[in-house]
Amino acid sequence: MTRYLAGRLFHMVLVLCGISVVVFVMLKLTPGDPAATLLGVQATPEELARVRRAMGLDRPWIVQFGLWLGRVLQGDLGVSYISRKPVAELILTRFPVTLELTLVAMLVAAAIGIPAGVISASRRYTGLDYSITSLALFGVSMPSFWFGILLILLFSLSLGWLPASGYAPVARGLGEHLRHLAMPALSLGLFLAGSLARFTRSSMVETLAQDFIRTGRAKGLAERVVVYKHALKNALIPTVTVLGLQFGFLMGGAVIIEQVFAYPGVGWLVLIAVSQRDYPVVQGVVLVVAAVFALANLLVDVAYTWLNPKIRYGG
Amino acid sequence: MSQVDRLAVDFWTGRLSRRAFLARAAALGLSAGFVADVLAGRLPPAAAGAVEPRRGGTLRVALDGEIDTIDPHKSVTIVGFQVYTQIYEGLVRANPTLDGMVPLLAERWEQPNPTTYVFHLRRGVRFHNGKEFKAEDVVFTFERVMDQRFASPRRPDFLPVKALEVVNDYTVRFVMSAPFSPFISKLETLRIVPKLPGHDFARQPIGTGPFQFVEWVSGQHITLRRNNAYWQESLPYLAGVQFRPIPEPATRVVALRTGDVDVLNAVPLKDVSTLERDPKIKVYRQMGVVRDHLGFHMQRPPFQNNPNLRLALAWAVDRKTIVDDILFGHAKPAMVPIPESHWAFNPKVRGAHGYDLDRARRYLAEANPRPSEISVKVSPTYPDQIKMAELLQASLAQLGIRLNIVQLEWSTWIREVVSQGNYEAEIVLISGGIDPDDFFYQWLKSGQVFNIWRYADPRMDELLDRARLATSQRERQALYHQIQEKLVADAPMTHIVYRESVMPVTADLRDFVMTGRYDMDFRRVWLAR
Repeated sequence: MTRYLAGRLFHMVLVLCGISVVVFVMLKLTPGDPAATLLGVQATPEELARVRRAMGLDRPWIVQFGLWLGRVLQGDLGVSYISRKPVAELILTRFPVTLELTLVAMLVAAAIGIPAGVISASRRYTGLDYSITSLALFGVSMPSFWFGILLILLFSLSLGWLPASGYAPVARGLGEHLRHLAMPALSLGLFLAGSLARFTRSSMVETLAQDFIRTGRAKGLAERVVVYKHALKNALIPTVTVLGLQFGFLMGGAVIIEQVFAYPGVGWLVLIAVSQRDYPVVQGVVLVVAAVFALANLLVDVAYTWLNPKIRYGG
Repeated sequence: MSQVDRLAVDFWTGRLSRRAFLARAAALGLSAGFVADVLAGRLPPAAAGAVEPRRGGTLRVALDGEIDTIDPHKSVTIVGFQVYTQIYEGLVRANPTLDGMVPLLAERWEQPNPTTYVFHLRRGVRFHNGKEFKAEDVVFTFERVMDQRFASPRRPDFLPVKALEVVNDYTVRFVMSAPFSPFISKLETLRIVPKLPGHDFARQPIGTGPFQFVEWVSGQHITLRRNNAYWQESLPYLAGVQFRPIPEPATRVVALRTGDVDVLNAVPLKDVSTLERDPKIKVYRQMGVVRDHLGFHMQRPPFQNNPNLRLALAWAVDRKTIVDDILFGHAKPAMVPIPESHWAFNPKVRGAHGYDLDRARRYLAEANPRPSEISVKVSPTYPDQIKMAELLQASLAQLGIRLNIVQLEWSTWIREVVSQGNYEAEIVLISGGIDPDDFFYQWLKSGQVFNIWRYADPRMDELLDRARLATSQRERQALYHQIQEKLVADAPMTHIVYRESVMPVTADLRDFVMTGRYDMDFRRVWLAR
């Protein structure tokens, strides 16, 4: 197991390097440059050239990337071109916000999606099953930003229960914190809840048709025990995979949701940074998010062994 | 500008002697309090008989985006301007009607000759760090902006300045290399910082403004508190201002309607009528300095040396439908960049271009070449302009011209249209301007960066230079009238609309003065709650 983990971690570092290179090249290929953002539209070509030189943007790409990588290896993510704030500080302020939003959205999705899928599978071809699968389809098809705006209109404008936007640190009270978190997490989790319900249902249907379930029923076990103890544990393995993989997509979805709710996470930060061509911020955020995503996948693989002792990794 | 305001401005800017001012104030029956305020260079107070303002409270302002920086010499965004204006002040500021400048950190100024401006600084003003404001701070600020390594986007505005001299602690003298009439209006962007070499004014702002910096939490809020030592004693009334970025327009509108915020810096035009019906909200509207145009590349076919084709297109823009259906009535047709309320506007240009396809056909018959296809470049950053292009597409189809609409991401649009001139026609909006020079010179003079149409006309160049050198307002007005008549005749672009600035605020906000430029002057506002 240790050897397996070491190998996986080494592999992760390679992946992160690859991602950094790809993002760097994509940024360089995108028209527009930070010097133009800084100087405004009035800048003369000479001034632009001078600022680019001062920022080191006139050097060959490979040199620029090498310098950035060298600093990152020393733990320095650089300074934002625009706000002059250290990138590490920006990420430290904002990344926990996105992480919490994503995890809570996953929790919401699991709390809705998994039970819905199980009920759907154990009551196959009934009205309940049809209603759940229809709702799941709705969840998968509904664009999350649109759903977010509908939630705002209902819970903020009509009912006045929840604040329409913004973020409250836990220091301002847990209740206030959760009131601000509720709608963004729900809109972000909706798509995942739908796909989890559909996934759990098909996985459960498959498991319930297997021999060991028939044996269990023949031995006179209660249906509840068969479904929830024996079938569910087996059916959850693919579901956990989906959850782990979806984590990255949720991070992507957070970009949109954070914009809608003015939720100060890393997604919204990177969106602004891309439009301003603030390279250090984009590079730093992508690196951190990719590292977290890779770690999440590793955790999923480790969780397998707990769910199913038959799965063992070499070494 | 009212007669009373005009009187104060004339005195402040040295057009009226003290004696003449007192005589006119007496003739108008102005109160002794008003006269004392004007003599001391203070804001004219609120209208007589107004309610006594209530002190305290924090004003929560929703911004449509995160600001770029609070450094006033670096910021290039409107939201940045809205925030740093509370913290940093210039020697002068624009009056609410945006057609002249009034004193701020300078008590008054005079112009002994066409190239010299002498500013008498206000005494007893302190920066937020306690330091007294003096001439050395003006010099330090000016040198900071002009330092090439610092790369301030404000630098081009002050290139005509040959020297800045300290006369004494409270007097400075600016000397121009040649007469430069828009100088005073440019000076508004020179926000004074204290002489602190090496200090980072982006991270730790220090100015003389009515509010001082507390903190900026990225993506959450920028918090300012009342400057208790503000030079205009008794102001501001508010205890503080908090700015919150809310990028999604629908969310911003709900935040105002539910009382989460008090002011919106920007609002989708389709929501204005809903907000106007809400008794808890007051919507301020003012014709602004934002205008849209359809521009033509003057040095490339098909528009090069082809005035009839340009005029054909100028008469194919259905401005009424654009105002009514695309901009929900918050605009009016425009012929020139300068607002109709401005003293330099030429009323004769009204109706110079319009919507008349028969007339467009007649121009087209004279055009050479007569293209069957034209491409127009727009950016989805401004979705209204895509709709304008689509409307134009339908009109031109009736003339037998196919209009291809090319959408480019904003920075790509800037590069292709502004920097490289790689386009046939473009539609965009332009904002800002106080002095008439701001509306014409940098846009129409040959070789200027902002002359995106590559318009190069010797007669126009001469008029623009003469208007810059002329010192009397009457002489300048006559020249700008000629410039506007020439502009609509040559048609390097055709203007489409002037836009209204719209700012919805809570009904509890009192004494707010709206300008056509999204200024946020919170020195005198107060909250009735």
